[in-house]
Amino acid sequence: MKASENRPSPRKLTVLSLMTALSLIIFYLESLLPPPVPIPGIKLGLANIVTLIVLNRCGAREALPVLLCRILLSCFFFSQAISLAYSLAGGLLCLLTMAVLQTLLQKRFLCLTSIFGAMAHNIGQMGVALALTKVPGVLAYLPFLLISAAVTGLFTGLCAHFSLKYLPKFPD
Amino acid sequence: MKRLPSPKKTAYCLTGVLAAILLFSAFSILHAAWKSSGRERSGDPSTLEIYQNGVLIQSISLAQVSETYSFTVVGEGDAYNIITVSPDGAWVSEASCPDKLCIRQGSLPGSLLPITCLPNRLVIRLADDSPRETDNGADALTY
Repeated sequence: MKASENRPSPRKLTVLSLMTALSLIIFYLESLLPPPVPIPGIKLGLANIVTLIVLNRCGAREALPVLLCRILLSCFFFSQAISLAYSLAGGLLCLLTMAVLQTLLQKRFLCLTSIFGAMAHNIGQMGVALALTKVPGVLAYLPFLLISAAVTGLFTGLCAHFSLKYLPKFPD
Repeated sequence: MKRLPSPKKTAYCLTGVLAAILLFSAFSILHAAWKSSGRERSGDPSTLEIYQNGVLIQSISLAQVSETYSFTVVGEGDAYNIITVSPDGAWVSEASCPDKLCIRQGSLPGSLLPITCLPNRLVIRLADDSPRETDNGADALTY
């Protein structure tokens, strides 16, 4: 009885599946664009708009499977196997940070949540880069990654903020 | 249960933290640029280190390079990076990685950042990042 209560309704499951597909499409379209600057790790992170929307409308419990499915499917279809470690570390740290901040900010100030999420994402990726290359010199990238995260996080936060205004309520 | 502080108050605190992070990052970049320009002004020949999987595979003193040459660093599977070395610096001229970011990162010295190819786990960096006032040019890793 309890297990069925915890299970999402078919309508909600459908919406979450749609959100996963949407984030996968956004990720793919973004991967077609050339990297804006020749620094590894700097990208717009547009797929995070979907994570932010699901986190805001439903919660971390729903955003986590959407994020995990997007990461696994995008690595399977569009990236190298090594990208999985970077995406998982960055994505999970980003989601954790955004979930905590969203609770603290009571779902307001979405741009701040998004900026800190983007920074956490880049810090997670830097941690994996450091573990794989084992050269502390790669930490020189961190200031560049943090500044770019502030810019891209603000952009994705604004996109999510305006999208949420027009999106209907998600089913329970 | 303890009540959470108001969202407005938390937002102010977070904005302060954000400003501090951005200031620190900007200062770090300016410091790196200042160090780089100091190196250029001193005219000291640089020593470059090439790491693969965290292992130093080659150390190149640019003072000993008289003409341009290239060599290949082979990674796991079919991964490779072709590194070109000239008396002025070194750069990745060809690579098997899909994004080719390592090629677009330019040459060292000259760039503020090490050249990194994350898919092939290759890092090219300047050997001596410390100030050179007391340095007589010798380096434990230079040959």
